[in-house]
Amino acid sequence: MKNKSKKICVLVVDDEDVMRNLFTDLLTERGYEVIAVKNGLEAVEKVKEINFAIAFIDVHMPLMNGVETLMTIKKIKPQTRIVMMDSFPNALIEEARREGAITCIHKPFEINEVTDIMEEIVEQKERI
Amino acid sequence: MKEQILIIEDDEAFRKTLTNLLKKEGYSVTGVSDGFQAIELAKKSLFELIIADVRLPKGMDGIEAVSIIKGIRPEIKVIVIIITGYTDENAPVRALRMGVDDYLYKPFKMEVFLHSVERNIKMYRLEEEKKEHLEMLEKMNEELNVAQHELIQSKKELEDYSKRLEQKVEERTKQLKETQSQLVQSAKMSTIGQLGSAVAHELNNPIGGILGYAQFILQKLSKPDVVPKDFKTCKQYIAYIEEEAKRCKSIVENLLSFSRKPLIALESVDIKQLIENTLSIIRHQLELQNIKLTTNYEPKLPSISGNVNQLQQVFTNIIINAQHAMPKGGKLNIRVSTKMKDGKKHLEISFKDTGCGIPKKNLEKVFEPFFTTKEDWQSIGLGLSITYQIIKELKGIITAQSKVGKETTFTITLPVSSS
Repeated sequence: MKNKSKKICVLVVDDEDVMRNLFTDLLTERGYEVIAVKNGLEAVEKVKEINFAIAFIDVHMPLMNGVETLMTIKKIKPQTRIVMMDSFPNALIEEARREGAITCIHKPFEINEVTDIMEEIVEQKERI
Repeated sequence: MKEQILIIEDDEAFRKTLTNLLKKEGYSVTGVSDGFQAIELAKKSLFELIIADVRLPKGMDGIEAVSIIKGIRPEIKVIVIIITGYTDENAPVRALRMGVDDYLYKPFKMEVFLHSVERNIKMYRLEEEKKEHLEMLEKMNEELNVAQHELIQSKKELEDYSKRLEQKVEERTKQLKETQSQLVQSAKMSTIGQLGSAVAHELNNPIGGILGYAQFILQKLSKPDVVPKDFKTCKQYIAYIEEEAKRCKSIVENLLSFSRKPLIALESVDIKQLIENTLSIIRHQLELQNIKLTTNYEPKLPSISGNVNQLQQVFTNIIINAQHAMPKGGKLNIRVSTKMKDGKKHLEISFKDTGCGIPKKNLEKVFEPFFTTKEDWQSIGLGLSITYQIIKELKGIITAQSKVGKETTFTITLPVSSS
């Protein structure tokens, strides 16, 4: 099933309510289509249905941690760009980079860190 | 040198008779015929008894001779028996003045003579013994006095020493209490270190929300074309900020109250509430590690007497240990129930994890201070020993059971407060 609108689709995977809300509010206002889920399992289900340009994934989550989620998504939709997020220094971030995360942001982050990444993607898409 | 008798008698035959008689009785006897000879002898030897005839040749009578002999060693007593004929009228008086023990009139029966000698020697000996005994007693008394004085001295020294010892013990106890307090604090700091990562995670998320929304609001309200709808939206965002800030507040409060040095005050503690408070900080951390947490509280649990901060430290310590034992996830069950022990009601709190377990040889040492099998710097191995101390002070007990590779259970039993 392909996404119907021409909007860029963003996946947010974070067990924190406030984080999901922030991403949704911030990016929706900028014209992106945001799908926010609580954990890796839900994320994988969504990835099967929708082509996401980018996924912001929190490293620390119950059931399936961020790196496992990253790897699973990459298997299903390898072109999905992955940005990792963490809330304190962690070895998993290094692993995520090795597994293909394009970058990582550390909480608490400034909103322009997120919007800058989004603008990059838009530029890349326009160049293609 | 003892039984020396000197006989001063110029009548040779009589002298020999007396001498032989006394020798037969076992005495050693020396005989002389005049006063001058007697004096010469007396200078060289010590005589116990002098038997002297009053009438002696060469111009010195018996009494004179004895008097001079006595003067040779005036401090030593000599027994004197004077023999005389009835014709010496002055003799008795002179003899008495000189000091005589017996006075025999010639002729006398030999039994009388012997009897006198024996009696006088016996009395003399008794006197000597008495003197010796007296001297000995005096000496002993003197020694006893000295000993008593020394005892009094020793007693006083002992008292002083005992007082100083008491003082030292007091000081040392104070030091030990201070050290123990520091150790407890230190172990706490270590536990806080363990909590640190959990709290950092806990705090960074709400702060992320606060920062994000604050910046978002500023952006929105800085646009030239701000509309009323924007204000409504921003109001919602500000409400999120407020909520997340409050969340930070409670996380910090929880951590601060834990780290503050507690007064060891006992209060009535609701164990269920306390466990739930403890879990509120670390529950999330456990979830992240795929640890399934279950709790079973018996209904209407009685309260126990304890210190809230200390007990929170105890529970945190045990739960974090359980977490470390299950790096790939597992189950942790906390159960609180009542139990009768020694006829009194107790609360039994058990923590059962499905972790790697503790080998039997370590199980005995697990409550010892500085015993740790962990390698990271945060584990100084004090947690369980402090836990053990705290529980012990509350008159409770803590035990550990384990099956290697399968599970471990820590069980705390605490007496229910009687009030």
